[in-house]
Amino acid sequence: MRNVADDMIKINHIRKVYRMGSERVVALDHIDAVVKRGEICCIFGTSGSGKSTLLNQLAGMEKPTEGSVVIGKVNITKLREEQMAVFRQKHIGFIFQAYNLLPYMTALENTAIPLMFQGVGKHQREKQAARLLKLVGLGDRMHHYPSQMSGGQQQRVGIARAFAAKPSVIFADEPTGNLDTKTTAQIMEMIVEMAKKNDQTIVLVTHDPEMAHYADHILTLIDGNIVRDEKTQEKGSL
Amino acid sequence: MSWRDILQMCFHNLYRRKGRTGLTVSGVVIGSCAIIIMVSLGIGMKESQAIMLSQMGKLTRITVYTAPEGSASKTVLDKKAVKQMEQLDGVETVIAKTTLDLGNLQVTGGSKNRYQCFYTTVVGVSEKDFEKMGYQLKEGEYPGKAPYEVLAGQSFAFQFADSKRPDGKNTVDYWSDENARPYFQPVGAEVSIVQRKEVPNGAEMEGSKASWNEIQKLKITGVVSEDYDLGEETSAGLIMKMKDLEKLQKPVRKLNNQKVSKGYTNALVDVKTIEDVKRVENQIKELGFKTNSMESIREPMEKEARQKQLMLGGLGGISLLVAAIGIANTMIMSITERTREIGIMKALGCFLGDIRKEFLTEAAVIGLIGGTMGIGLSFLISGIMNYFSMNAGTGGSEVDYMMGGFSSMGGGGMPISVIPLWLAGFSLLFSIFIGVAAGYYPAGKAVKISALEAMKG
Ligand SMILES: Nc1ncnc2c1ncn2[C@@H]1O[C@H](COP(=O)(O)OP(=O)(O)OP(=O)(O)O)[C@@H](O)[C@H]1O
Ligand SMILES: [Mg+2]
Repeated sequence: MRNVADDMIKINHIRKVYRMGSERVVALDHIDAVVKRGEICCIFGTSGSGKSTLLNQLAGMEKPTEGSVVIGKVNITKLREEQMAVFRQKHIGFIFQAYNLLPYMTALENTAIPLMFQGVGKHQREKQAARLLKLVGLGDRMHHYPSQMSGGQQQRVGIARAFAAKPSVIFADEPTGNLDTKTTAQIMEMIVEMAKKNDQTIVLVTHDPEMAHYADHILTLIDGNIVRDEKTQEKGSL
Repeated sequence: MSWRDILQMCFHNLYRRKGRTGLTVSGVVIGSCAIIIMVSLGIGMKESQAIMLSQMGKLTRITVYTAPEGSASKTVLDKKAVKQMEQLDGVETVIAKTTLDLGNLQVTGGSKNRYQCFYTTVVGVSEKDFEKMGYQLKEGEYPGKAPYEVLAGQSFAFQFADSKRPDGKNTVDYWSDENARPYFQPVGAEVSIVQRKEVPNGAEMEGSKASWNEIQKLKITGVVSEDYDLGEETSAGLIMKMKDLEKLQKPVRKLNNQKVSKGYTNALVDVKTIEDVKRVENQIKELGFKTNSMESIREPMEKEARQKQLMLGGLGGISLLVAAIGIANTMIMSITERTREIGIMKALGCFLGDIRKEFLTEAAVIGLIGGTMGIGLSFLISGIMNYFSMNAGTGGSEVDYMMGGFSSMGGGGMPISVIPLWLAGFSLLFSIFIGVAAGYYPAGKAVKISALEAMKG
């Protein structure tokens, strides 16, 4: 058993309403939940249930209509954009479904981006990036451009990049959505292993029930409501 | 992000869209080139004008005369007035000059008045002013202490006719024959101011029947080079010491039945810079004198040149404005294409300021590259234009006509386009400024792109 005493993310009564002309879409309907430090938290649900919307609120990509999100001790709902950038640099990592590597940068440079934004020097940040790329098994692809790599390889660069600045929380929206089953397993194991090593928290969106296998904590969404909030005490059993 | 990273990112992005960057840059090249060439034509015009004017006379000189007789002013151009003028702000030197009006007297040389000169200018300048005046000695030396030692103008000795030769063959053709020698060597020669008295009856024979009344003998100690800035006497006249000339005034005037006027004939006032001319000239007028300077010609010319220059610069400015719109357009297109990228950058924690800096730098770099190439192209075009206008000779060439014929007036080989360093530097800075200004709005747009863009698709 790990020590997961403290709360990493507190979701306080979040509501998100999208206005489309005269119509209102309630994407999230008063959601409360707590994610502990070091947890692998899976957000489950069918398409359109509000998973991505919830993740975006948690990561501070957009502001909820009501309620607040607290990460660590910071109420990120109250942060101004420039403060949010600083907070992201220090505390948040991102893994995207579409990998989102910058096409004109090599794997090494892409991995080092979060450190570059922090103003870390080229030599130092690329040393760290190289270390991470080796960890995800891309030691021999460091100087390749995204267009020269497969989807799985690109996503591994994406993972290395998410971990580069040693964030406390990593958000991932369907990180394996574009990958086959075998690669999905490789990628997931990699994410979990790397997170566990440094007691980092992962919030992961998926509609694939297989993913439950990697999770400590599962939030199931239906139509913008959490219908189930369960912790799997032991992982490993399918 | 460090500046190094921002610059690198900016070059990456410009390079990625080479074609578009190239076209945008060429817009700036044309714009800055237009400005430089237009302004350089204006400067060329101004410089030709300046040279043309300086050929007409010294631009920093004001000639001062006593107000004409009968006018209200009774100010005399005397020592006191010269002192007053010397004390005016911006005045460098004041040299008083008096012209001896020979009237019906003439100057003769050789024995028994053999060589006769019917008209010449005789001026007096204070001994101490000889150096200040800047007379260039061609031969001989300045007059010494002895009275009535004088300087002769460059062609003074050629003005004499030989009374022993027949009409039509009794003069030396100084103007068309470059090997011409005067009838007598001026340096060391003595000439006289004389009054010729016709013998009333008797046959008219040149010289023989006239009697000569010598008023004063003058000894020529040196010959000065012709320089119209210093006065026409440097050409065909005589320059005397002021005190000698003043002694001659009375007898000469009397023989011509003229009153002796007080004071000097005129004074040459030299000011430090062209800008001083107008002010000093007005101050001297206020003292009650009549003045004359190149200012009356120079000022309207300069005004016209300035107007033309402004117009030309404006034309260039318009092309650079079009280039600025090109930059803005390119940047907006680039931002639209890169919406997702910018979203990703934001999601990964890039500062808004860094995004803004990156786009402004891109626009500035387009301006910088365009501006630099514009300078190069301008020098090339300017060189070609000058080559053709100089080889086309005076007048006739199209560009020359456009420029109002100033270059040919300036005397043949004047460049019509002049690019001073400041112009090149200014246009480069201006191009960069235009780039940044044009990039300002697109950069603001980029900053407003939401991090959510990274999550789409
Ligand atoms: N920007 C938006 N404007 C309007 N409605 C939106 C917006 N974003 C999401 N929605 C709506 O909110 C609801 C939840 O969308 P969300 O993207 O969170 O679903 P999801 O669970 O991530 O689905 P999927 O598994 O297909 O990605 C949907 O009904 C969607 O139409
Ligand atoms: Mg989604």
